[in-house]
Amino acid sequence: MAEEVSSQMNSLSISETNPSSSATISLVSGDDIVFKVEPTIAKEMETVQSFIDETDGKITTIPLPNISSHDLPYVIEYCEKSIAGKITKEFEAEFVKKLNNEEVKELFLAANYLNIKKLLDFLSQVIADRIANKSVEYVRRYFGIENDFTPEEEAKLREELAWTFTGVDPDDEDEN
Amino acid sequence: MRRFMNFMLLAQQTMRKRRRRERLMEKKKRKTKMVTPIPPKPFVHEELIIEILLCLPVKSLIRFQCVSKQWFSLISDPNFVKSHFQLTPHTRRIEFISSDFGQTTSIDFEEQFDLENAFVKQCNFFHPHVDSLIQIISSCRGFIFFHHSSGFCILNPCTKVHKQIPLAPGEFETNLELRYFYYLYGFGYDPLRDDYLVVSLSCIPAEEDLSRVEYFSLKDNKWKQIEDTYFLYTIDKIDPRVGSLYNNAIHWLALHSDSLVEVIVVFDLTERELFEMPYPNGVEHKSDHCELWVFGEFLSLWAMDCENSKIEIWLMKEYNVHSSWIKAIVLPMNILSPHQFSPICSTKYGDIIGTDGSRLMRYTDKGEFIEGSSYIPFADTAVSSGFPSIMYTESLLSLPGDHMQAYEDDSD
Repeated sequence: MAEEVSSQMNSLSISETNPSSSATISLVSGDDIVFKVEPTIAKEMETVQSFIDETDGKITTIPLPNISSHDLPYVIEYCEKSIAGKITKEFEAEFVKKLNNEEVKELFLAANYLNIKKLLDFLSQVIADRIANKSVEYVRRYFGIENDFTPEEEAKLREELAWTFTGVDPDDEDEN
Repeated sequence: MRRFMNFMLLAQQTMRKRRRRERLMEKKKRKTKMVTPIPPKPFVHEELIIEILLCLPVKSLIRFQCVSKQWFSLISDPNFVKSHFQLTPHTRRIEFISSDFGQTTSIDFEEQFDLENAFVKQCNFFHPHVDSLIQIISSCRGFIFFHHSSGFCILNPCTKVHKQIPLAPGEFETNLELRYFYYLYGFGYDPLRDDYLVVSLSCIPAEEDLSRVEYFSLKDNKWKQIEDTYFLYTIDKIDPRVGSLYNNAIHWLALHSDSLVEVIVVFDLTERELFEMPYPNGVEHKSDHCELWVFGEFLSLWAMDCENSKIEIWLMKEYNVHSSWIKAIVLPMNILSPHQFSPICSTKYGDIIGTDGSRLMRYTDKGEFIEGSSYIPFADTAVSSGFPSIMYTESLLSLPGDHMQAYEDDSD
């Protein structure tokens, strides 16, 4: 486990390059992987920061049970860029290129949980762009929404809104 | 849904509440020696859904009303709709209206005429086989205003929200062709009162006391004549004209009825009064070969120079500053068809879109011809005095006091 952590940290080049700064914050993912980050990174995550503030900085290990070790490095990467003032269109395009629709959704939830406004806004737009041309069925599945229209109600609505059902992407081609 | 009084405010409040709640929870947890922050809300929580919905284009939102009853209410909510119109970049299209066939067709024009992805919408409330002359057409915030059978119609082609507006009480008969009056019309939005107005200016030459300035307020649902204001102008085209909406005011070209000096007559939609601006210096063409429109961010005048086969495009660089008028672009006319060319709108890249009555055409801002499309649906209903097409901005907005009447209405 310890080795896994350090390899994660190397790939993200967090903390160790700057030992003189104040105590690092340990973020513990839902699957118990520890990510050490600079306090400045924690500041970007309002939920984490308010937690630190509440404990007067005495507690520096923060469990984030709802965020997996798969998602957390992405969040940290985004926060690092944000602090460095290097959030560009190019960076954002590269950032989401690696992510499939499920991963984008997970990150969106993580951003909401951690209360990172910039990331949340950005991912709202990414999700919107990715579902804009999708079918109603796809959207229900994606958000886990139950259709509570009766078949008659839905048929009537679809007939009235028929023009919006043209040019919709087929459902199967996207999952990645 | 009525719960969001002001969507943006609420979002902020919820965020603050959430933080407070989280802190409280955290305090509790410390006491019980648990250090786990609260679990996230379920994904279907409205706040999060709304964040995403606000980023979607109008067409997707309308389709996604079918997702569930919750989504239907969220997307139809008047406060959501307003926030969406304010926050989401606007999509503009050119709409063609045919009352003969009870349908409308719209195309994307920003980069090229996207004929393959035209939206064709059935609008069953059109009465077939009635007078289908559409001489007057204008648009504002996703609504299209046009003359239709015995009155006017305001239609949001996306939501199909629509309303019939009667002719002003003082208007001569109901047929626009059989009258001795000169008429100027306009349609616009009053942001102060969140109201839409249809404006009608009418006059009989040499009978000033019969001239009148009237407007129909959608909120009050009635016509109102502005007392003691006379429309002392005339126009040198027989057909009724529709004004250009710019800066919360409607603008028409007209002539002083006594001196026949050309002026720009303006109706301020928030002040609800008339004023005039002088005609730009240097435009040497008669006003019957000119028209006002909006080019990019500017009120503009295009003037047809028939002798030299060109169209000049003038811009008022600073609103209501006479000296700021400049001649910006000259379009050559020699490659145009003999029909009269008239601009419709400009694209976000500065291209000029216009029509010669049978085609849509695109010019660069340097006056170079780029493309012409013979695609004009319902070309047979086009009339010499006008062309039933208009640029509009897609929106989900409804008219005052008129929420959600659209779908019910269409079935009857």
